[in-house]
Amino acid sequence: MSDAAEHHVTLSPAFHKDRRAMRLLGIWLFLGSEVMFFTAFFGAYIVARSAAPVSVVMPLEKLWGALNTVVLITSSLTMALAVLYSKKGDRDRTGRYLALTFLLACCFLVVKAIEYTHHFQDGNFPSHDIFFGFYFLLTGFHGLHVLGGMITLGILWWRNRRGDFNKDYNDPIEIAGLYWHFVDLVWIFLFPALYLL
Amino acid sequence: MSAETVNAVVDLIHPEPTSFFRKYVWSYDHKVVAKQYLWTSLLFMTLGGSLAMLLRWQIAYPNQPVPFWGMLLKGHFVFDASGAISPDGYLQLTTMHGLIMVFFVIIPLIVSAFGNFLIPLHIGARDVAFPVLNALSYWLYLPAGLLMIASFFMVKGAGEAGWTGYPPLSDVAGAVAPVWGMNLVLIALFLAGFSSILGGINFLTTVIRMRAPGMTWSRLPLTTWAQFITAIFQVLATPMLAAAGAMLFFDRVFHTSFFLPHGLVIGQSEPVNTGGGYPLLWQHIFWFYAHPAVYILILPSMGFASDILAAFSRKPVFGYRAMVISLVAIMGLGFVVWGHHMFVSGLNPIMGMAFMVSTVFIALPSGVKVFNWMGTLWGGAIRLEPPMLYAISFVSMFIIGGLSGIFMAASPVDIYIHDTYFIIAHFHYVVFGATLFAVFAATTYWFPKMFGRMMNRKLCYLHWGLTFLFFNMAFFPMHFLGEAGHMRRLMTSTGYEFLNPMAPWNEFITLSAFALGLSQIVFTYNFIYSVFFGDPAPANPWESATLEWTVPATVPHYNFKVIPTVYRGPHEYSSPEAAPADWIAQNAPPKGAAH
Amino acid sequence: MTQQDHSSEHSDAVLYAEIFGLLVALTVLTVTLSYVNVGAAIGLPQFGRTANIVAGLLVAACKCSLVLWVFMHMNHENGTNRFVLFFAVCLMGVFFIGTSLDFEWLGTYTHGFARAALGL
Repeated sequence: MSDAAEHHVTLSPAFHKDRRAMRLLGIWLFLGSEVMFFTAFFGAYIVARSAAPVSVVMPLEKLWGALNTVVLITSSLTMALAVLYSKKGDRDRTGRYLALTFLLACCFLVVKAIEYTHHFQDGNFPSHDIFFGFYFLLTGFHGLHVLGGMITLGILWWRNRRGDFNKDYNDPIEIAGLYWHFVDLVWIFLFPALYLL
Repeated sequence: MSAETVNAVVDLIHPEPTSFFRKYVWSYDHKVVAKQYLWTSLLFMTLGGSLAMLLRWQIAYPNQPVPFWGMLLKGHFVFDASGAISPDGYLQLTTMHGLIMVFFVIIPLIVSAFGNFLIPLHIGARDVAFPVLNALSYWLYLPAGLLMIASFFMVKGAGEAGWTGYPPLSDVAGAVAPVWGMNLVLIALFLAGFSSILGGINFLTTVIRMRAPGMTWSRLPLTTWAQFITAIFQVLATPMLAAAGAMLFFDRVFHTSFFLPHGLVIGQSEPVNTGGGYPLLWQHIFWFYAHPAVYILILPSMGFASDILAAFSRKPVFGYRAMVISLVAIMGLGFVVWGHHMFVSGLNPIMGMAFMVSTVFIALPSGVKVFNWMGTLWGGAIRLEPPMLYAISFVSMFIIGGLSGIFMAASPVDIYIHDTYFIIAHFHYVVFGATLFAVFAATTYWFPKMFGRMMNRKLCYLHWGLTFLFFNMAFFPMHFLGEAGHMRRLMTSTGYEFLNPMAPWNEFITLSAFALGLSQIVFTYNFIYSVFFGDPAPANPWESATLEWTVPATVPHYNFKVIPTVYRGPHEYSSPEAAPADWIAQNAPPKGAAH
Repeated sequence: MTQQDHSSEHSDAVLYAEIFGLLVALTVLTVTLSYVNVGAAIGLPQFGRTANIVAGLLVAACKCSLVLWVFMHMNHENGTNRFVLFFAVCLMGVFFIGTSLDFEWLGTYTHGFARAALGL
């Protein structure tokens, strides 16, 4: 299999192009699957929310939620820029924006931790009522996704520093970007659903 | 390898491993992963089957000590102090039999094992699209299976809320369901679901992006088509199960109340004061996954049967296009019929009617498939090799299982036969009768390619005869029991006067089931013996036309030394072009064309 | 995609910044809306807070499309990948509609049952 081994070493641009298409399809399938995962939670939440009187006001601090929304949107921007510069082969800026995204993700989790502390101090545990059950379920799983994204970002930052990526090969950053934007999307719906409506 | 004809991506390869660990444990090779899945799921099948034997014993001989095992494990696991099955034990048996068979035997066996092995070989690729994810999916599945087994060792035993896990029975930890037994089951399902999603993403990407040059969608073998459609279900339906399981886990561990109604009374307790939730919510989410899962259990088998029937009738499959369209139609309809499991749960009657209509519509593509299989057989030069016998049995058992399904689909009839032995008969005809016969067909058919050896034909015939006979003896009478009102999951029928006349039937079914279980020893022996000592197989023992038969009997690490170019459909049998042979391989260039 | 020159890089970055600005503006809008009675504001007071819920979800959908279309490059994605997302969203709709219709009916039914039991 010497011919095969040789192909493994010299990867043509065509290989990268096809491989990129496969990776993108893979991540979109994964995101489709994630959509269905949150569909179950949101569907359940819709049922519970519509059973409650429409006048019920959500017992959460809107400003914390709004702050976190802006934090996540900003992190989406920095992620998009990281992807943009990784495609240019601009390693420095890519690394900078990856680090920035990572820090914003940290911010998000810190704000979330402050909120959780307040809930616990007020005795609002998941078992308090069905609203807090859903609140902790939805934000908990979203938080786990943020955490997963942070781990990915950390690894990518390190790999980028090591010089793994170049103009032709930057798929992991692009894929992580798509995932990160999806995490942002989930929050875009979570915020009005839990804090505002 | 000429760069013009070869899609660059098919160059994808990983070096052949040399260490034992990378070769057999953490292997990226799709063939090794397939075999890992095959062996593990066959092991789980013996476990799931044994559980079924135990519960059949209890039904036929209520509260009598189980021979041997009861003496040995008296007072442990599912046995009470006298060695008979305890009430909790009985519920654990039904629950774990169902869960193990569905999630740890059938899905890994037909989808992960055969899908992994066949898809790259069928489409002319060197491996699946994401080999690392493939290895990961197996190593998520195995711990999940071990957790299932571990749940038997927990205090108060394994999960006992039925495989459907309906709340509130499954929901209140410690009160009506064992605490960690059920929790472990939920974690195991979450892991198995994740493994299944990774597998599905892999298969879809592989089929969409890695087909060899010339392998158009209309030239895919039907097995691969079926695996492709199944993978869509896996990717888009399985997350619902994970989500439902997560919510149930929250209910049990963090005492939320997603599925617990307000003021629930358990036994003698005070009403449970919860935030107020909806038990029916679980049914919606669960069946939105579990109905597509039912098609995950049958579609790949349909694919196996289509290819095998064509190969042994020496005819192209009848109506290839209709076969594909019906697969797609089943997929589309499969997502909008989940409510037919909820006809007696207080479902909105208008919705009930909609679900009834959509369910009855599934008979249409299923019927198309059945008639096309018969059309394939019609006028063929039939070779009754073991795979063919098993495949024909698949079709006939599928007809019975499919027809009894129509009874269930009609909501007025369903209200009467819901949760009776009729439904047990129905889904065992589909999942055991149809799917497992297709698995036997696939195993005997692709065994030479998997292990480079032939299975013993005589033992195959013997196994087929015994299984076909005892399967029907065990499951056909269940239709009568169900019609007479015998409830499913009933521990002792002696307490009900109207069930007393059915006791002889129950004994008959149990004895047939034991015989059915014993018959599988023939297959197990044949399988294991042939893996090590079978006759060496030629590269193409069945004279089949699909690509996997063009590689040597022991498939090399890279499958295809040169990626093949495909010129024709998957079932070119009895083509005049081939004379004097009666088949042409998919990669044979047309006559007169330069190679 | 990979063959962008310097000016297109610059314009992409500007586009992203614009989209970011829009997203922040929409966030401010949705928070503001939650303090207003949207139904009364658009002259349909009978809908009350239901109008707020609809408005909030519409704004979220706008934000979602912006992120999908620009940040996630749906604008130059191929058909297969678009279809994957489209199909998942369709299934989401099927599930929402199916469960909502059922629980809508259950709510009416149990409500009516309770009223009958109380002799109302």
